[in-house]
Amino acid sequence: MQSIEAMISLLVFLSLASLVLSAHPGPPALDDSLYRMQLAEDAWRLLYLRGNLRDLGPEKRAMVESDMVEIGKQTGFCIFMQGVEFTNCRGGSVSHADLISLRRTVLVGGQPTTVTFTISRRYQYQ
Amino acid sequence: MRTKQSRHKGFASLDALASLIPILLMLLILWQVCFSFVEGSRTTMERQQMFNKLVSIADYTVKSGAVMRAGSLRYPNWLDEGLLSGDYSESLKEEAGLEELYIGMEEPPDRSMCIYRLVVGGPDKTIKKLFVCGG
Repeated sequence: MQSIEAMISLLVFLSLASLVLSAHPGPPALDDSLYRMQLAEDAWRLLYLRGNLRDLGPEKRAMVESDMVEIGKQTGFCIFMQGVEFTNCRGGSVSHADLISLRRTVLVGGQPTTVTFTISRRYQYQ
Repeated sequence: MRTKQSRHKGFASLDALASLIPILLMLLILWQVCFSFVEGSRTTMERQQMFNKLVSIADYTVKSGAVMRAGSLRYPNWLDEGLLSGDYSESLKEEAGLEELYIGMEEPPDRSMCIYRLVVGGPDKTIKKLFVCGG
């Protein structure tokens, strides 16, 4: 009788063990928050080095967005510059989980203006 | 009376013997579960350490190690590709304690872990990717 009980206990244990093992999540993803911030800084720095962030205005839209498109092609990033409404991803959908935002001050029409520079991983050309 | 006692003892031994096998199996499974958890944690920690080293090396490279200079002035993210010679990555590899390290503009086909940084290169400041891979 006790042997039967032991076997039943074993079966219960095995089913619980398999349940725990199947529910066990895989290895956690790497913490890349610092790296993603660095990539956002890179994108901003590239626009600056290309010389198109000096005194932003509607006439600079084509040049800045052209650089954004190039960065988007190489990396798959959607880039938004809120405040001047520049983007390489107009109408595209983005992953909000991967958004990284930086606040920067630039000259717009000679006036210091704070813009929010945002990058996101997903990129879809329209 | 003596016969009854010995019968009882026989039953107890048989039961103990029968339940020993499931107990051992349970212990074996428990040990395997613990081992897989520990092994998984160790692997994750090693990958994170490797990733952090690559992030540090890449950041140093694009901010100071291989950037354009004009006198004492440095231009972060404006890469001087001529500085990315074999010696540059060799010295960083030794300092970081890595077995393999690649720093270059082309993505190598078979590396265990790779990250990239955005840079500009050349006098026309062409937008490029700098790959830093290690193993």
